[in-house]
Amino acid sequence: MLPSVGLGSWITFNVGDDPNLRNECAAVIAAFLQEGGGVIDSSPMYGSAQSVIGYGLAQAGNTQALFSADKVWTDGSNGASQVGETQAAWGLERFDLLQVHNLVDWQAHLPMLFDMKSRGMVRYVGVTTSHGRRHDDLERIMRTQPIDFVQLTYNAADQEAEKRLMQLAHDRGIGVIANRPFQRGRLPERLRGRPLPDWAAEVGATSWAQLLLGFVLSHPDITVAIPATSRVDHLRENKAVARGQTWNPDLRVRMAAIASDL
Amino acid sequence: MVEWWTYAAEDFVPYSARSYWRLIERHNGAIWPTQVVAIAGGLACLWQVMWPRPIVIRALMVGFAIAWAWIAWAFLLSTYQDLNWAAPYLAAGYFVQAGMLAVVALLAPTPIRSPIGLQRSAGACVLAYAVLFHPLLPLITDRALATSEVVAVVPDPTALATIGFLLSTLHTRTALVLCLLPAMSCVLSAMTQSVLAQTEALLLITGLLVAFFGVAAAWIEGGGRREF
Repeated sequence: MLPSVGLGSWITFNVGDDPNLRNECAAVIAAFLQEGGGVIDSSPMYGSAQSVIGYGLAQAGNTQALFSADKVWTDGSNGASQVGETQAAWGLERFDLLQVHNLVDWQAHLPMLFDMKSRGMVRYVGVTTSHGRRHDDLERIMRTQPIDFVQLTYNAADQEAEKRLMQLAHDRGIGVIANRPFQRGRLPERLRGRPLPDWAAEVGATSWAQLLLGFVLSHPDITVAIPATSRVDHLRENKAVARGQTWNPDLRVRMAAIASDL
Repeated sequence: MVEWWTYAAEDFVPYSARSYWRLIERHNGAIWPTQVVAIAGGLACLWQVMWPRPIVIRALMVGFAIAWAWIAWAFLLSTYQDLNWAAPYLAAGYFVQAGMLAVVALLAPTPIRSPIGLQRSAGACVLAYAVLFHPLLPLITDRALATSEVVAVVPDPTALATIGFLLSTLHTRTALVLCLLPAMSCVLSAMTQSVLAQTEALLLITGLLVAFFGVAAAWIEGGGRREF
C-alpha cells in the first residue's frame, strides 16, 4: 500500500549545483526512504529539482521504497524527449507515475503516456493542476480519460476540490495526490506562535504543521499528500502524521475554521 | 501550449530565498575580485554625474554595455539558469540592452546633454544608492556579507545604476528609451523578491519611483516642452 505521506520537490529541491544544499536534500531523501518512502514528486518546471533528486537517490543506494512520480511540461511534440531527459535526471529507467503538468497540451501528452503504459514503460498515468486552476477541464478529463491519478491542491484553507473532484475520483477509482498542503509554507507560518488547540492530542499532533497535514490526509478520498521540505526534522514530523490517530468529522470542521481565518 | 495567464507570480519563482542568496554568494566567490573593478566603475559614474565630460560618459556607457552582456552570460546563463528555467529569456533581454547601450554610446550623434536639474538629481540619487548602498544591504538584513549585490556583477544594482546614470547624463528621450529594459528588469526582480518576502523588492520599486518622479518633475519644470 502506498504510504500516505509523500515528498514534493517544488522550491525545496531546486538548489542548483550547490554541494552543501544538495547534500541537505540528499539527507531528506534518505530519511524519507528510511521512514517508509512513498511518492517523490517532481517536474521539469522545478528547475534543478529533478537532478537533485537523482543525486539524492544515488546517495541513498537502496530505493526499493521509492514510488517515482514526475511530469510532462512542454508542448505536445516534445513530450517523449522530455520524459527521456527526466529519466536521465533521476537515474531511472522507468517511472511509477507520469503526469501531465498543469494540463499543458494534455490532448497530445495523454495518448503518448497511455502508449507508454501499454508498453510497460510507466506504471500509472495522471494529470495535475494546482491553486484550484482549471478544475472544469480537470473534471472533464477525469470523466473521459482512463487516468490513474489526479494531482490537485487541497489543504485546510483550500477545499474547493471537495465540491466535485474528490467524489468523482472516488467513483472512477482515481487516486488523488494533494499538493500544497501547507500553501508553500504560508499556513504554518501564519499559525506560528499560536497555542495548539486542546484537541490536537486526540489526533497525535504536536505541531501546527502536523495538524494541517493531518487534515489533508483525513479526507477519505486523498491517497497521498506531498509536502515539500528541505529539513530532515520536518520530514520525520510529516511522516509521523501518518501514524497519528483518526480524525472525526467534527475535528475537520474545527481545523477548517481555524485555517479560514488566516 | 503553456497557458501562462493562469499562472500566479509565485509559479515563476521556483526556488527559495535561501537557495537564491547561496547562488549569489557562490557567484561572488567565483568572480572575486571583479567586484572591486565594478565598484570603481560605479564611482566613476558618480564622478561623471558631478563633472560630466561627453567622451567619458560615452566610455562609461560602453562599460555598462559590457556589464549587461557579461551579466547575461556569466550570471544568468551560467549560474541563475540552474534555478530558473526563464533565465535564457532574461539573458536575451540583457544582451539586447547591451547592444542598445553600445550603439548609442558609439554611434548616436549627440545623446549627451545636461538634463533638467530635478531629473539629474533623481538619477544621481538612484545611481548613488545602486553603487554605494545596495551592496551594504546584508548589514541590515539577515544575510551574510558574501551575498552582497554589486553593480555590474548582478542584475538588480546594475539595472538601477543604469537608470540613474542615464537619466542624470543623457538627453531625456534617449535616456528613457535606454531605461525601458532596465526598468522592466527591476519590476521583474521586485516581483521575484516580493514572492521571496525580501526587503529588496521595496527598495527596487522605490528606486524606480524616485527615477520616475524625477523625470516627471523635470518635465513639469520644463513646461512640458516637446524638445524636453
